[in-house]
Amino acid sequence: MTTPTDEQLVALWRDHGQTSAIADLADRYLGQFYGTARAMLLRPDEAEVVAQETMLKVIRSIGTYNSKWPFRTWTYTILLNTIRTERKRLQVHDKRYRATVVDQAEIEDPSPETIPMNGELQDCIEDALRKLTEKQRTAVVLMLIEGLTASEAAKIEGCSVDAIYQRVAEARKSLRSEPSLQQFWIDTP
Amino acid sequence: MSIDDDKIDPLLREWRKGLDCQEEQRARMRERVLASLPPVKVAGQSRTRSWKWIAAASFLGLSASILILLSLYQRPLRPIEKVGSELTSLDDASIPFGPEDLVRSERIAAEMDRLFASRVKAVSLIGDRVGLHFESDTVQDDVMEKGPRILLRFVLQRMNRNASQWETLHREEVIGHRDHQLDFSPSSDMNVHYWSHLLPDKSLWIEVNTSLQTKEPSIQEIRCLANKSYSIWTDEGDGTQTRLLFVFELLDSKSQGVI
Repeated sequence: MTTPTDEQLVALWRDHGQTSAIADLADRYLGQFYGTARAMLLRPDEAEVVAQETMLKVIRSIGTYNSKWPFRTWTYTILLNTIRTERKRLQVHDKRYRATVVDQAEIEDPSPETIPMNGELQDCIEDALRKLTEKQRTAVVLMLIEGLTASEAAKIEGCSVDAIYQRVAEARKSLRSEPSLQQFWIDTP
Repeated sequence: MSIDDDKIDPLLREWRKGLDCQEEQRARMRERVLASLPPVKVAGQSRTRSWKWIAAASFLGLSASILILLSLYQRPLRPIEKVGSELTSLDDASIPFGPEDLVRSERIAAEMDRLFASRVKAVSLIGDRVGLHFESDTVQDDVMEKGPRILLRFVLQRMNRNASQWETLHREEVIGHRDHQLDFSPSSDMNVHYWSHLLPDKSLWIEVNTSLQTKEPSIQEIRCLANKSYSIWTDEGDGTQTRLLFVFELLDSKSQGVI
């Protein structure tokens, strides 16, 4: 028996109300949403909320899903929209409660449920990504990290494919010249 | 130092692996999502009506609705000049919404939701002009959390050095949603970017970025209570004071029924 495609699962839920179809979609996408949200927000504490909220938005708006769009591209559009809203909320919150947030960050460990990489390298990469513009970081996360095609990324971002390539190129240039990452370039064979 | 891109991409992918959630965490999220599933409407019911059909029906009703809106709007609104001449301070009762403002706006919101199946993102009211802002066909707008309708009012006022009363230069009302972003220009050299989020206690968290062509932008963040006036921007120069006032109120569009 072949595994149903995302689009087939959507049809099972939308047309026949099969809850198991949504459970399968949640299994496929919640982890992806979580990882992408962490990469975009660089805030592990918010990624779980964003992943859940995105999945619920996907389910609630599945009636408007147009099957001419690949399901994954559609869900990533929703995910990025949720991330933007969350980022905006966090910006306002952080500005207002900056001292509190800093204090909390100092005493809280990074999410204990994630697999640690070399801590120093992880910090350097995250610092370097923070220095990118939002558009550059989005392009890097979608294309270089999540493996979407430039065409998919362009559709999600509502821009041209050329613009996506340009953002990735600018981001790479910025990462290459990031002083804190230089040591890792040398160490990497 | 020249670095090969071949080193960047694997490093980023390696970093991404460390961001994966664990099985236990995934199961927890899955459980919460499944517990929040909305009731299912299967094929053949209203869910399957295509947007094309709704769009066609909406188009037929558009002309009539605009006429209804215009007549509704014009009736209870006072002329802007009159409002301006009455203003003396932030405490002036004419800045917050009166009962007639709310009834009018609730009816407009209810009618828009009925005609366009909640596809109207915002309704702007400037003087006698009514603007409908439809959500686009992209999913980005489809999935916006809507929540209750919120009525926003922005009033730009000016007062000369020797004058004793504020003069209203611009008044704009917007019927929006719980989370709302808005860009508008109350005067030719002024741009305002507004963002708001409704908090659980029904107060509104707003951020207003106001910029003039010749001055540094000003950003204000305020937690606003319903129907209280707030000065969200002020400026002074050449013997003239200018200020932008803001007030909001929650609407209950369902209570008004159909016009």
